[in-house]
Amino acid sequence: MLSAMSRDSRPPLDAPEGLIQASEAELIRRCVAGERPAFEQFYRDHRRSVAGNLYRVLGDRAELDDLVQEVFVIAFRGMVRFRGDAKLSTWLYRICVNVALGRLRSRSRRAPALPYAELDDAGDGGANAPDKQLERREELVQVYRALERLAPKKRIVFILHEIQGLDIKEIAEIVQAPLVTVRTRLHYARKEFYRIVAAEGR
Amino acid sequence: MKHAPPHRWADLAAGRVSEAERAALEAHAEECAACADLRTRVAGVRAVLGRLRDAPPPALNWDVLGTRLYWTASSEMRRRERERDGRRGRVRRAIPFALAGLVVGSGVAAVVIAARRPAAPAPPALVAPALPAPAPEPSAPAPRPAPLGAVVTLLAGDVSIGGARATEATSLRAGDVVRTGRGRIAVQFGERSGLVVEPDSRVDLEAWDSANVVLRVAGAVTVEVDRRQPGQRFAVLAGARAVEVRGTVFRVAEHGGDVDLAVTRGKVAVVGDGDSLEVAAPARLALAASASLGSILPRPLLSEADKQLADGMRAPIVPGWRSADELRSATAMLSIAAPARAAVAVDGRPVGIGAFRLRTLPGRHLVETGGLARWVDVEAGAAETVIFGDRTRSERPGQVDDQLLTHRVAVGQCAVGLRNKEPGFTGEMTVEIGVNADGSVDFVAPVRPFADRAVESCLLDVIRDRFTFPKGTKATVQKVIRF
Repeated sequence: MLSAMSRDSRPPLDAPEGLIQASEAELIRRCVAGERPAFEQFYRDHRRSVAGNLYRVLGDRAELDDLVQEVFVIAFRGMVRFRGDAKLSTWLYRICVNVALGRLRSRSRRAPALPYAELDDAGDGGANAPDKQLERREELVQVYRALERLAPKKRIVFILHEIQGLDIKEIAEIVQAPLVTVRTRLHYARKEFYRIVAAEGR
Repeated sequence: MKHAPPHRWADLAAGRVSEAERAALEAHAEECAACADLRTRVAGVRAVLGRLRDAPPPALNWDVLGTRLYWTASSEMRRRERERDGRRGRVRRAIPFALAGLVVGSGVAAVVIAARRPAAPAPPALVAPALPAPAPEPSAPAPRPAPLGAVVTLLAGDVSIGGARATEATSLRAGDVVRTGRGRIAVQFGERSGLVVEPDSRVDLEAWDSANVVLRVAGAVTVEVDRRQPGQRFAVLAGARAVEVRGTVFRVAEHGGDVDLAVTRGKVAVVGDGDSLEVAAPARLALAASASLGSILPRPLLSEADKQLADGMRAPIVPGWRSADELRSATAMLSIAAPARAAVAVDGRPVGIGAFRLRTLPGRHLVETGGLARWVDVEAGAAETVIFGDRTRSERPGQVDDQLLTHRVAVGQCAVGLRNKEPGFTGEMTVEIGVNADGSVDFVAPVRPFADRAVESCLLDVIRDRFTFPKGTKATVQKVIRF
């Protein structure tokens, strides 16, 4: 399920839907019944995608384990009410987004510290030379510095679209907003983001 | 053409512009050096965004996180069950929450001080005026308070209760005296209430029931108290002072009449000598025996020593309290033997030092000390021992290597399809393999997904269906498989 949130391989979209839903429904039923193996299975299946999503939105690993825990606690609390109206991955994604939003908002209330100092080198593509790594890290810092200046809601749609590769409809389902709102929000987010990037380069 | 807004260069890079606009933008970039530079920079940023999409998530301590999560989730689940129980659940909850006053006195020294100061004995200040207990109904006969259930959750060294050596099965009754000597004991008496009696301390349980708890302490005790119910009394006496509490976490140490009070959650009111002082968390108050309350102010917990003290003020509390007996039967004991003075963490939380016994939920737990870690599985009502000092490593990683060698042909077959399409194709996939103590494969999960789902599925099937292990330790092995 790691790739459930990325464009190129999302099991709920690629795999036979009925099968996935049936197994997911069974897993959820067992989780709600308190079966520890089911709980562990659910956690194992989704932990990396949850961590990856939070990490990409927030850009740093500070408190990442606490936030992952928060997502799963909310998920387990909400399983009783999960009726399968949305795909499990979308539902979990929505929880990630809400937790990340909460974190972004609390972060924006504090002093504007730059929390992305611990960014990992993402997908080095064979560029292992220290100077190349440094350059890539600087690029990442530049990106997250610009993202940091976007309002949390704009930042979320921007990341879901530009980084995660989701389309407007999927984003609307995740952030539970009308398509027009998402489209407008994304338009202004992109405009603002690249304006910041341009200004930083001067 | 005017300068294009920056996001249009991103649109250009993404192919989201019309042919005419693309030509116009490119022509403009030919003439305008600043725009050409911006175009390059935006393309670079888009490449970074693309790399972020493919970046693997950071490696967290998944096992510890999973265990913590299970604790939280199972606690939530039990709470839900209790809510479903309705009335019966409410009655059950009332018992553990039925917490009364906590009186911290000063043992023999307090008796001496009280004798010297007949005008200022402790009892008049038992209930602070700020938080009076609700008055009983005049017409109704006062119900007899139920005894307060208590479960030992941590036991280190020799501790005596009521003159007998304490065990994990020991309960507490009014009149008992707890003496720790060099040992330490933690007792839980509600879902979120517990106390820790620290070494070289004596605690007299003058009252221990659902309406009133009176502790007379010489030494140090840390108390974590849940919210007070109507009609219950929460009070602490320290020498000639009274401390009235609501839901709070605090530590009181008494030595020779001097009192050191630290509050890490909630608020307490200290009353004595006709004066009162509120201490709100996080704060510390040092009261010399002769000091007057009016001349002393609490100070915030700021220093490193304060922080260490606050970190240590945790009563080990097991979730899922219904009654003392039920908690005892639903939990397990871990006997942990670590080197003297070595701090031990269970499931990522520091719980004790050296050798001790700890009550815990059944299931899998991670016990860590120094750089060593052990997984242990316990069942309800059972006891398990974890001994540190032998640096044995799990045999499972080597066995996984052997199995990979044995089944290399089957593993290689998984990529045949890809090789046919793409001659010379090589790849790798990182998997986690959980092996049970009986040698069965508990789970196989990809750490980083492989681009080709068929190959990934084939590899996982080979591991799940063909790999065999002898009996041994339960372990999770992470392995990079190259093919």
